[in-house]
Amino acid sequence: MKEKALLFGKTRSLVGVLTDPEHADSAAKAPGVIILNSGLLPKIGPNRLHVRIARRLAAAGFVAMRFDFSGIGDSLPRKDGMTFARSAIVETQEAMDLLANARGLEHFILMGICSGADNSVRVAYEDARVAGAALIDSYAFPTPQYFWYSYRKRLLNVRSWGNLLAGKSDLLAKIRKGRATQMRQRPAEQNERLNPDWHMPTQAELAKTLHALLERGTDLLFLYSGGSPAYFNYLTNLKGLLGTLQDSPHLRLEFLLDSDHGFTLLHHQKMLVDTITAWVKSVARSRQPNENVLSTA
Amino acid sequence: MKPFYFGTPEKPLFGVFHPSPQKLNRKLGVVICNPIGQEHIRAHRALRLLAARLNQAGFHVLRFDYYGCGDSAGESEEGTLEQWRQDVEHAVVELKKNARVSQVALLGLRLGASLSWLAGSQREDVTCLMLWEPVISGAHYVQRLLAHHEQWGIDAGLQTKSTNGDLEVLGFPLPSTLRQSLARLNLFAAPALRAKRVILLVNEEKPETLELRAHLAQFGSAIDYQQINGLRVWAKQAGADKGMVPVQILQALVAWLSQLDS
Repeated sequence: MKEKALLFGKTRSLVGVLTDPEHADSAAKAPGVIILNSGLLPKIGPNRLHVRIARRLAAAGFVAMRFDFSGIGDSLPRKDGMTFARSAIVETQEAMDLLANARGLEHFILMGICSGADNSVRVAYEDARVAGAALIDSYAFPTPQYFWYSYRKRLLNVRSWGNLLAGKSDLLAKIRKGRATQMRQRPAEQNERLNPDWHMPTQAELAKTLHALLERGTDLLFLYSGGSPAYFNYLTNLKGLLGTLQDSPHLRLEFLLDSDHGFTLLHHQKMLVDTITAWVKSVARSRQPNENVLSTA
Repeated sequence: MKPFYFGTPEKPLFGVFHPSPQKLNRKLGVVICNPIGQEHIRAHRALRLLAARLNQAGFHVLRFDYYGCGDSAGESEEGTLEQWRQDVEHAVVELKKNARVSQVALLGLRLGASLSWLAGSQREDVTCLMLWEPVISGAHYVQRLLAHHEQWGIDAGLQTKSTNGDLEVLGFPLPSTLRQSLARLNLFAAPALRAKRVILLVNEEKPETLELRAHLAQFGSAIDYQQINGLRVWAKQAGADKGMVPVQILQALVAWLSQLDS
């Protein structure tokens, strides 16, 4: 495994790290993997997870790249006034161009947690070079059960009640800070208020996108942590959106229900890395059934 | 801006060199020393913007990640205090080579400030130290991290006690070697400062920071002290505070260094 720092993009202001497998010959036949920022977190990802995933994939024979969108992490802000909604797509395409030129790769698997998943879907829809996308805690449409799900663990936890009564709960702190109004807002509205660039697709828009991707043969992994309301909603949202395509061989659903949204605990991180690696390998195999290009790492 | 790897071939370190865009002939270059773990991720944006402001003020700046941290080589389990102190020294050498300066200011936040002190005390070319909310007692720091981790588990409704005895804090491993080396960290017993100019900047005035300020006076360095009640960038931020930076603190640090090297 070898890591190389990159400065790339039209304006040479995007910073990335390319992780190459030890033996480059196998990688040329497999899709390259590009890991996108999760929210405002730098390219190392929550708890440095993106680094672990990139190294694990490189050990399995894949070229992996993580980079920062402009204005996030190490990358400089854009000066051309392009919105983030557009630049996230353009910059991911620039990362694909780089890997195509530098490593001869033709197809790519995108992956991201939370907003990284949302951006992966949007890029995949626009660019047919995307052969697959690992979407971790991606889009969810809030339902009335949202708050029940968000707070049920605390409601069912004796220590949480003890904290509440002892005045140590952060719920009290939030109320004291006048955030009760914010909590009552729907999450999508919160996101759009804080980030005007961000647009929550309607259910019809998302259904159209997912149908197009699956019909194109794009492999999609929807992975849900138990800490995300997205999981709670997946049955009513995702399966409803997919209709007959929910049995598509290109669709995979995985759950890490014990984990929080940030994959904070180390054993949850290991499960996530294992799951992602196994799925990426299965996608590569399905695209090249006669090629034994991947190691067993 | 130049992202690159430097250091030894066995343990390459990720760095971003920001060459000064202006020809102000600053004698000093600046190495920024990060906090570790979750504090590193939370403070990343503020430190990158601090580097940009220093850069605009005419300083060459090197940001970098310690071994086993950030984008540098090594797994998160492999970091030790001694390794990170050596990494700071590698960064000083690398900055001097890239920026062609002979003197270096180390600017550290939290554990990065403590490491700046430890590394700076070994070198004559580190003439300035900028200590932003340093970790004074490693043992107390570990205690606080573990307490925060436990509280996080309570809030998340998750069991945080490890089944195999290995400790972890807020998403990162805390192996016994690191825990033991942190437990030995005590700035009151740290080697004598060699830097001629030092600034101690704290967000909140506490008895131990005032004690440290008094302690610093014995080394014969010129000591400045500032208390600015800005955003604690290394602590968890929620909602609209995410991504905010304490502009007043950043500007105070840039202004302090600029008037020293003008």
